[in-house]
Amino acid sequence: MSNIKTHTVALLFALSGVVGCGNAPDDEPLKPRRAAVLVEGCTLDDWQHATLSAVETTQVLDEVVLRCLVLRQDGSIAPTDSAARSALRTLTAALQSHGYQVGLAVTAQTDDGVDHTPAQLLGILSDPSLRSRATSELVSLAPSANFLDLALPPLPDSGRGVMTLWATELSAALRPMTRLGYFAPPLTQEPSELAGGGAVDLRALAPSFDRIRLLTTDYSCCEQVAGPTTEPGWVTEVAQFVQNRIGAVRPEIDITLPLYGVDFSKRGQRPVSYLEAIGVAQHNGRQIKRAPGGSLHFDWTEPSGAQHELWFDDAAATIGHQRRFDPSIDSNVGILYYGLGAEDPALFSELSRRR
Amino acid sequence: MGAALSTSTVAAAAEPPFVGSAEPEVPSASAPSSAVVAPSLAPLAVESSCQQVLHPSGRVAAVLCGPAKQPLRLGGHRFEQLTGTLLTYYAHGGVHELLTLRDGFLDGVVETYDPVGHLIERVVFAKGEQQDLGVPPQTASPSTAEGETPTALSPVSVSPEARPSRADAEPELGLGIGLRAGSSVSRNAYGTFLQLGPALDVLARIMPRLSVELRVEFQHTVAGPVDYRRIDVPVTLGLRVELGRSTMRPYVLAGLGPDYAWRKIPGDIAAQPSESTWLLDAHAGFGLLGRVSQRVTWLAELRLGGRFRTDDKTRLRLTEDSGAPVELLGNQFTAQLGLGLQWMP
Repeated sequence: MSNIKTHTVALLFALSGVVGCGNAPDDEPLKPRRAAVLVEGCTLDDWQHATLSAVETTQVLDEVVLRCLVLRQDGSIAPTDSAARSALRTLTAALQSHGYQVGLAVTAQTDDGVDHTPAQLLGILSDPSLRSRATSELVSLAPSANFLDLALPPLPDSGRGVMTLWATELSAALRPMTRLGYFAPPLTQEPSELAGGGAVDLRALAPSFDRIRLLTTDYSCCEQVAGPTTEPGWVTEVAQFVQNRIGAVRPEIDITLPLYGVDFSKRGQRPVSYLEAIGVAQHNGRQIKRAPGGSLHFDWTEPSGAQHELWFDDAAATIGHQRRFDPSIDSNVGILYYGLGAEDPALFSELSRRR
Repeated sequence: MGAALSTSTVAAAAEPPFVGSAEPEVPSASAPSSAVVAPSLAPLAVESSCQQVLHPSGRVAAVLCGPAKQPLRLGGHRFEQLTGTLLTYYAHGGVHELLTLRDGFLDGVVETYDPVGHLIERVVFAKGEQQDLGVPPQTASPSTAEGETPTALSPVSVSPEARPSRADAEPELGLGIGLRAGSSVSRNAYGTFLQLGPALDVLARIMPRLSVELRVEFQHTVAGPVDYRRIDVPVTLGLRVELGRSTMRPYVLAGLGPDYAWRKIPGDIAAQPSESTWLLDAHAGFGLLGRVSQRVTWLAELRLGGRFRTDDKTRLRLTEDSGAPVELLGNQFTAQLGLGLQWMP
């Protein structure tokens, strides 16, 4: 009888299974790479400041890129007032004191903050006087930072020559006083079918820059189907294509990992932060799913009935992306984390643990 | 009760013979050892080849006679010079034998009961010799005259209190425990899933056939929709009514109580690691009890019912590849099959 009882109890517990036996966290070190983070704007909010001040973040990041400078229609570079430029110098100095290399990225917008259309931008760069003014203003701003990057909106295919020309002029004016970088679309072929891709002549541009940052973001931007913001296989394809086009040593190449997510609906696409995505899921009672590629997603419905699908990455997803492309991409290819403040708060500490 | 039985037995020995009923009842489990025989029937002689064997409680377990240690009820021996009714008991207190003696010889009705109080044999002796009556034992009646066949059964009276009581075969009050292996098949909006796990029952018998059951169960999913890992811990209070008194008897039950339900959200998503809630568990069912030993019983049962979500927390829904969002931890139908053992003193 006692044997029966013993066996019964053993069977019961065996059948009950073991609770909480999930997969062990993947703590294997990632391939060492230089890393940068992009901040939208010329200032840091408290969250961003705290993140960049954290020891874990300083262990992960080498560079901070402030997407701050704006090429205006008159060829000037904002901010133009001395107070703003002074504040910018103070900020870069503060970041440098944490050990970061700080860069200023230049975009091109109207006064109301909207990107220039390709035609508008072509008009500016095609005008030698406007181009010259922009160049001289960038020369004056260069001492404020360790490097400058061009992060321009798309040009029409006809702007290919003008872009290459301005790059040559900038290179002559700025280098070697400062490093010059260029934000390139995620090319996988030339001529590219991407918006603005036709204006990019990689081989012609390469000698003018120290760094080419490949914007491997918004992977699902354009197919009318919601999906992840990036994809490791695609990132690998872009990096290998560009390396093959321009050589593996100079200029250096960075790929980009987005820290933001995207909410897809019939109204369009809207970038969302990790915390906003979590909040939307909780508020609407939606279970978040992890896609086979690692990204998180869920759908939700507005009170009006409008359907949304939201895709974003948490720390595990971002680390998973890196782990997937690590074997295929050389270690001299760096990573630009795009959109400081939108990330999973655990990201940099998790990355730090895997260095 | 024990004192009353003893007294009445003594009194009966001095009264006119036989007032017993034709259909004896199950012996009382609480009959005291002093009921072996009336004090007035204390042994008068010493020449006896029979000896009493006592339980640790002091009750008589058997009267064995002769070198072969044969039970007295088989006849052929004299047990001292007793006149009156002699009872022997099982270890759990139930009456085993009812022996009627005159001057130490079996003389009258001799009955034997099984451990749960069923009469399994009734024979009649006269002056130590078993009689072949050729009639059913129910012939005895209070009006039967002494010397006639039926009255020969009853040289001494057997009081109703001394007669075994069928309802007393098991204690009217008592606490017990049960251990069961349970499996449940549930269906909610998300799908059908199977859970297995142990259950612990605490039973309180408040009436001979009615028990209160406090049940704590642990259930873990072993099959169901992909990645649907769930644990339920229902704690229910129920009533169980046993139907009949046989060694294998059915019962019906009903229960109600809270159920803590927890499920892991797949994907190791730190923001949503799991979902938990409280459900109200209401069920009814039936089962079968079978005796393994005097105190241990096996059981098999089926419970049918539902679990209903009662909290105000935001309920997580998941949109499948096609279709509307479905709730993953909501109301459900549940069928539970249980197999186990229970112990009651």
